[in-house]
Amino acid sequence: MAERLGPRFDLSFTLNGASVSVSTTTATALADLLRERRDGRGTRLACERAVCGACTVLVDDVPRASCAVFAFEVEGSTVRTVEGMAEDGELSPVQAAFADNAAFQCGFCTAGMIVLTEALLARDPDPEEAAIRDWISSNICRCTGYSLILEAVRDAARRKRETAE
Amino acid sequence: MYEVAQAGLIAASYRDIPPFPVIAPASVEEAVAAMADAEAPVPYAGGTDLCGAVREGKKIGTLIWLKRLDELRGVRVADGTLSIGALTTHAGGAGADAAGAIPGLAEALSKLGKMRIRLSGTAGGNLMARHTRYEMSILLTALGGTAHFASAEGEADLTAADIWERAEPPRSLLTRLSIPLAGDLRLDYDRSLRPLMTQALARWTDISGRPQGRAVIATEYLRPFALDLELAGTDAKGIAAAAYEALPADFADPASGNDWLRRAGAAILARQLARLEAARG
Ligand SMILES: Cc1cc2nc3c(=O)[nH]c(=O)nc-3n(C[C@H](O)[C@H](O)[C@H](O)COP(=O)(O)OP(=O)(O)OC[C@H]3O[C@@H](n4cnc5c(N)ncnc54)[C@H](O)[C@@H]3O)c2cc1C
Ligand code: FES
Ligand code: FES
Repeated sequence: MAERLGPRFDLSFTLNGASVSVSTTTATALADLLRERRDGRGTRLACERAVCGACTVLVDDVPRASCAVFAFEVEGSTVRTVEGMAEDGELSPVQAAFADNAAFQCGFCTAGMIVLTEALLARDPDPEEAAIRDWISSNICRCTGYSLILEAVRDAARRKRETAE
Repeated sequence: MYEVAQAGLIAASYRDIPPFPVIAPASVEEAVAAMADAEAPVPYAGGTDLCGAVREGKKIGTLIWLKRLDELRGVRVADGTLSIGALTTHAGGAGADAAGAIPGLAEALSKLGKMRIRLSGTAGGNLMARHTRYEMSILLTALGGTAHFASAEGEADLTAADIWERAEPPRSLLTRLSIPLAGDLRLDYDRSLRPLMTQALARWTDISGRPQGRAVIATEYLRPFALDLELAGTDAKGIAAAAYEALPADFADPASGNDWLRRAGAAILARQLARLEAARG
């Protein structure tokens, strides 16, 4: 049976491990819905055209530009943002690698880059250089020239593999 | 007076977009019915194009969300035809075993945008967005494929050129792309000069065993143009130069002049012919 949603509806999903229920509208972008929450400002907004990737979040483990996802799409889904990467107050290996490699200047792209890296390493714990470049070039960094970010991704992959062993 | 807002340089925020009803059909049949009955229906697949378009002024009466139509996902080969479901993502197409039925196809699909886009952007959305900078139309033209549309009025198979002319039935849904598997069909797609130009080359043998070829050139701003190739003989440069005589003198845009397109296109085509020849072994 076709499912129907009225212009305003109640949305339930899992955000960084916690259940969330909100009343929202069908025209609301996921990025706006996340950023309206006090704990959701890590997801940045810049181009709002799916181009820059600053707003990248994981929807059921797929990295998506949350400016180009209507919030209604995540009903029943699991959403992970940069706020959900740390565990028990400890930076995740990817976050720690970005910090230790100084892989940012202004930091505006960083949340999206970290989320994208999590998605890459979940699919491929030991990515080839070409794969790292293909994935990371999905998002735009206007500051670093990418080399420090690439170094952070390689380092994050090493750290995650070591933790897994 | 020049008004920035009127010039369209400032897009609406989502807050300014009036909410709309959403229908999520569970089958193609239901989707076709929803397209027929809903007020101003707009199909919605991966959203990588539509969300931006909405902020730039595209109006949604009713959003027909295609997500539940699993039957429109995947690449299959049956009865001598390769079909790509309209909801197949570029990454899904590139990774599908069946894409191997046309050597070069998976590689071409793996170049459509970067990974974040390839994981969400679909074949159908790429064609129906009708942007000259999107590339599915180029590949479909080179491979001699068609797009299948379903509507309450009936079904239709259209070429990419027909889609540019908006010849699909009103209120229809693109369901799949079909490519007849001509003898030893192969593809080479060259994006090395993108965005100034890209070129796809398809090569196959006809039933009498003669080699056939089609090159398709496109630019950021121009719709794909197909050049039929005379492949008799082995001189790739000669074949490419002869093919380019058919390029219309007005095939040019502000970034890529006609003379340059002829020279660059012929040079790339010669390389592509050589690559396909080498790949055949
Ligand atoms: C940053 C970025 C980089 C990109 N780079 C490239 C690139 O290098 N090469 C390239 O080719 N493309 C590129 N694209 C475009 C991308 O491939 C398309 O946006 C994508 O394929 C559209 O698919 P979608 O499922 O997201 O479509 P949607 O955004 O959901 O829809 C797009 C349009 O198609 C219509 N539509 C969707 N599905 C159907 C259907 N089944 N039947 C009828 N109408 C339908 C919608 O109504 C809408 O008008 C890029 C896009 C972005 C944002
Ligand atoms: S703000 Fe979403 S991709 Fe740029
Ligand atoms: S650190 Fe400034 S945009 Fe990447």
